[in-house]
Amino acid sequence: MERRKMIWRWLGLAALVAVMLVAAAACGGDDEEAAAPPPPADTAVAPEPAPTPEPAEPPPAAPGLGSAFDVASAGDVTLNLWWLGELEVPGIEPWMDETIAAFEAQYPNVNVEATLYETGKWIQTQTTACQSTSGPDLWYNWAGTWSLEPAWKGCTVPNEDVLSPEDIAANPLAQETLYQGKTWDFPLYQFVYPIVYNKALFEAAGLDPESPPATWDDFVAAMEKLKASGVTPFALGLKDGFGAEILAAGQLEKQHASAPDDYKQRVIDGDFTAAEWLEWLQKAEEMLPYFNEDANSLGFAEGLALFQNEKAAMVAGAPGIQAVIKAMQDEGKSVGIMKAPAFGSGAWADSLVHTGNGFQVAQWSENKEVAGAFMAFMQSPERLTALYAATGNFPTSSNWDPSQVTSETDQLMLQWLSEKGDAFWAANYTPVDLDVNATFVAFQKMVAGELDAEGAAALYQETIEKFREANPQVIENFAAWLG
Amino acid sequence: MSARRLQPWLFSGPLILLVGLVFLYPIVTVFRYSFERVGSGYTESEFVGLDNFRFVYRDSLFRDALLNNAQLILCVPVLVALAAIVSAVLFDRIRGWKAYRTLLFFPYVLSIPVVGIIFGYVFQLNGLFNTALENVGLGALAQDWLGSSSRALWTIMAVIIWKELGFGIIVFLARLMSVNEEMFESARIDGAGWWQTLRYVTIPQLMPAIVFFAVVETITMLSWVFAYIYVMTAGGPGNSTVVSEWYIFQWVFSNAVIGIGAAAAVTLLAATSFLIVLRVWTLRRFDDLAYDV
Repeated sequence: MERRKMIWRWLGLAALVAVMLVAAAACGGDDEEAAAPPPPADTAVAPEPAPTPEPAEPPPAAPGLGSAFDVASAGDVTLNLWWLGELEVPGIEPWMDETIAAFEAQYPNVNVEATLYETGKWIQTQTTACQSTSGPDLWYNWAGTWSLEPAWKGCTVPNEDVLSPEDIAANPLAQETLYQGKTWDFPLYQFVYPIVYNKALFEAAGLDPESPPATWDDFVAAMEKLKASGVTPFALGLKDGFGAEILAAGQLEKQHASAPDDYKQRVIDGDFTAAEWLEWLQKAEEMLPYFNEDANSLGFAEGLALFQNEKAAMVAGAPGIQAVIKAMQDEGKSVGIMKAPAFGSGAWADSLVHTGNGFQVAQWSENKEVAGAFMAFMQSPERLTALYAATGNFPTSSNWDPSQVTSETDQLMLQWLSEKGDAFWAANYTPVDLDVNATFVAFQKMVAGELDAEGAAALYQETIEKFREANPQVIENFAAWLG
Repeated sequence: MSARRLQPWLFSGPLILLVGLVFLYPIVTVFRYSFERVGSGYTESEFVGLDNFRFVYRDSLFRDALLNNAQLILCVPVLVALAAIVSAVLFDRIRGWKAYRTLLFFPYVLSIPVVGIIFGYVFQLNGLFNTALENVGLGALAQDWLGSSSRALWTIMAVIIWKELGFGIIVFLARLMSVNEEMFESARIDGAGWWQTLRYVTIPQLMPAIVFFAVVETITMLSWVFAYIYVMTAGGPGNSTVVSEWYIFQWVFSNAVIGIGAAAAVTLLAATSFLIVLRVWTLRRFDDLAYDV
C-alpha cells in the first residue's frame, strides 16, 4: 500500500514537472521562432562567400534618412542607447548629456535614454540582447569584427538603412565595417595608437628627446640606454591581457600588413608560424629585457601609471591616450610621441594605427530612422568640435574641422594619418579568442620566460586551428568579408 | 485523486512551478544548447550531436582547467583541519573567544571581488606582502606571487583558504555547541588530554559537520571560484589559473560559442551533481555515526 502511494506521488510529481516544462517552453518560446523581423537577405546570415568586391567608397544609401530624416514626423519616441561612456573615452559623458539635451530640444517628441555598461561585460551584454532579440535602439561598438559579429547574427542593421548617403560618405572610417557592400557601424571618434615617451627621461639617458629612434636597432639601443640610466624603458601591464593586445595590435602585428584582408586571410586559412607573423614576435622577444619586471602582476592601467608617474620612459598608447598626454603636459611633464620603428614590408609598417568607434542600430528597434537621425545629429560640426574639446579624441567625420587642434602631439598624429594613410587596429580583424588565448597568453608566458617567439607563434597556430574547428560559421563569415 | 490527497499539491504546486522555471528550465536549455551550434534570436540553431562534447574533451585547455579545479580541491582538507582545530580551541572558551570568532568569520562576509582586488595588490611583485618580507629581512623569499605561472594558483588557494576558513569555524562551532557537555566532562574525568579529547570526542562529534563542510567546499572549488580568478588573475598568467567556470565564460561570452560553453557546463554540472548525491548519502551515514559514538 505504502509502495503504491509512493509510486503515485512520484508519478504526480513527474507529471507536474512535465506540464511545467511544456508551459515554460511555450512561454519562453524557441529562440529561433522569436517573432522578430528576419535579417536582411544580404547580411552575413547567408553563409556563402560574398562575391561583392570591397569598393573604395561606401555605396549610396536611401535618401531621406539620417540627417535628412524628418524626426518631428515620427511621433512620440523614446530612444534607448547603450554605451560605455567614460570607460572608453574620459570626458565624453557630459558631452553626450549635452548632445541628448540639444536633440530633445530640437525634437520635443523624442526622449533619449542613455544607459552605461561596463567594458568587460560588453560582449556578454550584447550577446544576451541578441539572443533575446530585445535591447536598445542603438548601441556603441568598436569597428571590424566587434560590429560585424552582431551583424552576422542579424541583430543590427547596416548604416545604409538608417543614414543618408551624405552622412556615410562623410565618415570614411565606416569602411572598417564594410561587408557585402554595406557598412555596419557608424564611427564617432577615433582611437589612435602611438608610442608615448617621456622627454626628460630620454634626455637623462643621453638620448635626443626631439628625435626618437627611427630604426628597430636604434629603438633597442635606446631602451638599453634608458635601462642603464636606471629607469624602466617600456611600461607594460599584462595581468588583464590588454597591455599585450595594445602593444601587439598597435605597433607590431601591422608590420607586414597592407590591408585588413591580410589579417582576415590569415584567420581563414593562414599559417601563424610563417616568417611574417613570427618576425614581430621575435621583435617582441627582443623587448622583453626592457619591460618592468612586474609586468605579469600589473593590469594595463597599472602599467600605464608607471609611465604617468615617470617610473618608465615609454608606453604603448591606448584608448584615452590623448587625455593622458594632456594631463601629463598640464602637470609640466614633457611628452613626445613616436611609432614603433618599421621593420616589416607591409604598407602599414610605418603608419599610425587608428580605428573608428561608434554606434549601430539594432534590428529589433521600432525607431530605426530616429536612431539613425540621432547618430547623424551627433556628427554635426558643432557637436564634433565640442567632442574634441571635451575628450581630446579625434572625431572620425569630415564634418569636423581639425583646425581647432593646437596640441603638438595631436598635430603630429594628424600629420601621420594624412601622410602615411590608414593602418587599422589588427584586433578588429581577428577573433577575440586569438587575443585572449594567444596574444594575452603568449606575452604573459614570454615575460615569465616560459615561451620563446617560435613557441608563441605555435600557440597562435594552435589557437586558430581550434577556433576554426569550433566556429566554422564565423570562418565562413570571414571569407565572405574578404574584399 | 481525492480532495484530501490533492490538497498538498495545490499548496506546493505554485512553488514547484516557480522553482522549475527558475532552475529546471535553464538547466534543460543548457542541455539542449550543448547539442547545438546555437544561433542568435535571428539565425537558426543547428543540431551537432556530440560534437561540442568531443571538442571540449579534446581541448587541452579544458583538461588544464579541470586539473586546476582538482588542485583547488586540495584546499578542502586544509580548510577542514584548520577549522576543526580552531573551532576546538574556541570551544574551550579561551579568553576573548567571541571576539576571535567574529574576527575569523569576518573574511567570509567580505565580497569576493573586494578580497580579490585587495589581495591582487598585496601579492604584486612590488606589493605589500613582498615589501613586508623585505622589511623583516626575508626579502629572499619575495616572489612574483600572481605573476608566475607556477605560483599564481597556489596564491589564489591561500586567499580562498583565508576567506573560507571562517565559514568552517562557524559551522563546526555550531555543531560542537549542540553536543552534550557531559561527553567532554566524561573525557576530562577519564584523564583525556586536549589532543585525546579532540581525537576521540570532538572530531567524531563533528563528523556530520565535517562532511557537510567538506562537500560544500569541494563543490565551491569546482564551481564557485570564478570571481577569485576573474578579479585576481583573469585566468593568467599564461592560462595557468584557468578553471572550468572561466573556460565556460570564455566560450559563451568572449567567443559567443554558446554550444561549447554549454557542453563544458553540462560536464561540470554532472560532476557537482555527483558530489551533491554524495553529500546527501554521507550526511545520512555520518549523522547516524555521530549519534552512535
